[in-house]
Amino acid sequence: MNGRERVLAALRREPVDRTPACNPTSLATVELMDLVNAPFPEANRNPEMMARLAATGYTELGFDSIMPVFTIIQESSALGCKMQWEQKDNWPTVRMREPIWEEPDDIKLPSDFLTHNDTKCVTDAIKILKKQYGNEVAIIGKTMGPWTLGYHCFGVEPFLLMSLDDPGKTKLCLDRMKEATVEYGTAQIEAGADALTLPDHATGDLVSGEYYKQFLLDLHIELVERLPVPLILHICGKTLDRMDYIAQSGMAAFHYDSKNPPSDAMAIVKDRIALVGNINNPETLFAKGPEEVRQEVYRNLEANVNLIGPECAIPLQTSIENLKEIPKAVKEWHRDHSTPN
Amino acid sequence: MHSQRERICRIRPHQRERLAAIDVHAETTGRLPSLGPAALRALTVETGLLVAPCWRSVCSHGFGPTDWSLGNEITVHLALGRIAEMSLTTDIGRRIELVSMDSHFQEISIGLYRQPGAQGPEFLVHTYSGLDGARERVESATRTMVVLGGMEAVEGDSRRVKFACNRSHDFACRRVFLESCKWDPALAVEPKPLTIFDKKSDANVTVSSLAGGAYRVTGEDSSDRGKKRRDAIGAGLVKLGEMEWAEGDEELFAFPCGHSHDKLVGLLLIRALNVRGVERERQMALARGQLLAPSAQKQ
Repeated sequence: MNGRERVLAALRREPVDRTPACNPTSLATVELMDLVNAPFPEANRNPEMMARLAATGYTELGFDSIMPVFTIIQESSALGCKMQWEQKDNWPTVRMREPIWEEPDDIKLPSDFLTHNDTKCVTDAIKILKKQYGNEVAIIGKTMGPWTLGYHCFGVEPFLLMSLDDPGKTKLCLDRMKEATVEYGTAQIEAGADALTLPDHATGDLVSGEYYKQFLLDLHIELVERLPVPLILHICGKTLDRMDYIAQSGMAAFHYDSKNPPSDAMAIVKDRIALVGNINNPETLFAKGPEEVRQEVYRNLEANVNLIGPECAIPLQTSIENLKEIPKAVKEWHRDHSTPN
Repeated sequence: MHSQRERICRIRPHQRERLAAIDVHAETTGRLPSLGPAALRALTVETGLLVAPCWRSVCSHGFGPTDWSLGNEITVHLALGRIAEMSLTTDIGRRIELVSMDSHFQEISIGLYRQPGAQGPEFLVHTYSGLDGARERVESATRTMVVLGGMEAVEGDSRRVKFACNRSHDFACRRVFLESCKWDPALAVEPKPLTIFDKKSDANVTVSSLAGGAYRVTGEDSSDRGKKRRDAIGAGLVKLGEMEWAEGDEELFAFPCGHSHDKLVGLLLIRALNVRGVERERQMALARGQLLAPSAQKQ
């Protein structure tokens, strides 16, 4: 199997020759930016740079997938949010203190939503990557879910307060914002994406598992029906309390955080959805060494997690040797445990 | 012989696996034509490969801006070898420190890597940048480490240093590296003295270098306040240099290697005056570059 076949099979929970090393979120680091002369923030706005930097996840690090959408703000920029593009060593962010929407009727997709520089950059980068690597490695796109778009466009606090004060209005907002998720995801599929990551930050610190069921489960089921590639849902933080619901969403995979023990997560999802993750970013990949990375990879493999990768977009200062250790450890574990997964 | 341009045009993605077998030109050292952005764009279209307009060499993903591109020359053998293994990065040891954006040269990232050497640990100063002048910048920072930190250049490698005692002193070495990267390369560099003016005690403080790699902080201010400051500065040096307190003498401390490192202590002394500031700086550096969920971002 090549990387593409391996990733797509694992997302379908079909047999694979070995567990894929997969990155549903960014693998960009400042050193890789130097290596291919594609620094942030330009690499988020220039398709050639974006493709070049993303390709290093495969060519340098040895992952089975390429993920060019490093940030979580591309479509928010196209929707009109105020942006802080930052420098090479920091992430661009949306200025959520300056929201652009207050009411459901404010929600409108701009006519240039898909031709805006910051959305088109992604679709163009996917086309480049598809042409160059599309037969050998899985190209993964990313379209933000409506809950995250709500944070970006309404502001975190106003959006959460709205969900408490007027759940019906919140659902209407989510329903309208999901069109952005579908349009952008569809554009990436047409550009050549094999799968899409769908981050929807109903995170454990602010939103309960029941909230996920109340506001997002049905929406996610609809997104699965409308976006005809495997979807990888990404939610940070402790999510064990909603994994049973997530497993009912029809998503191909859930990209889960290291705050959730792999064996506990696997016990909840019970082969209804694949799991991707969950190598810890701040404490392990960023601050420790290859040996500790390897131990976390092994912990996931021993729990039969379907695809192995970092828990979220890796810190930009992460060392290359730690990232290389993930696919290396996966291969060596399988060599030592020679029965196919 | 094909020109470099022809050769690159002939390399297509599906041929990459066969590249290892290409030997006709493999050992030829060629000279790259000087191509502008328009020509590079045309090459992208023509070859279907990613061609980097800013790289110093004409390149697909496999022709990278590494050492061999210096001087606009390319050793084709090396380049092809790297394409065959599809990687431009090699194992260069454990990275122990990183300057994400060098303020003195094009915001490149510079890393400090620890490697085993023949006699003990060695430290490689490395950048993955292939920009013109990047290597020279790294060499300059390495030379500064030698002067400021009292380290030794490793023979035959202008980017590699070690301590004379052949021990690692990792934490101190990281500080030497960070200070050396901050140092303006246009300025002359000299080792820091073992005496410094301490604003808090309004007096000079001196670190006396004793036998066996031991040190003691002395000062002009004989008051209790002065003693507290000297104790604090001594504690700062112990922390920054990973030194050890001597038994039976609460003011004496030493490097575990038993060797003196006076230049290193002179450099650390500046930061030992305000260790909390060092820690704050470190925490800020750690926080940068971590992507937070929108709900966790400061709005």
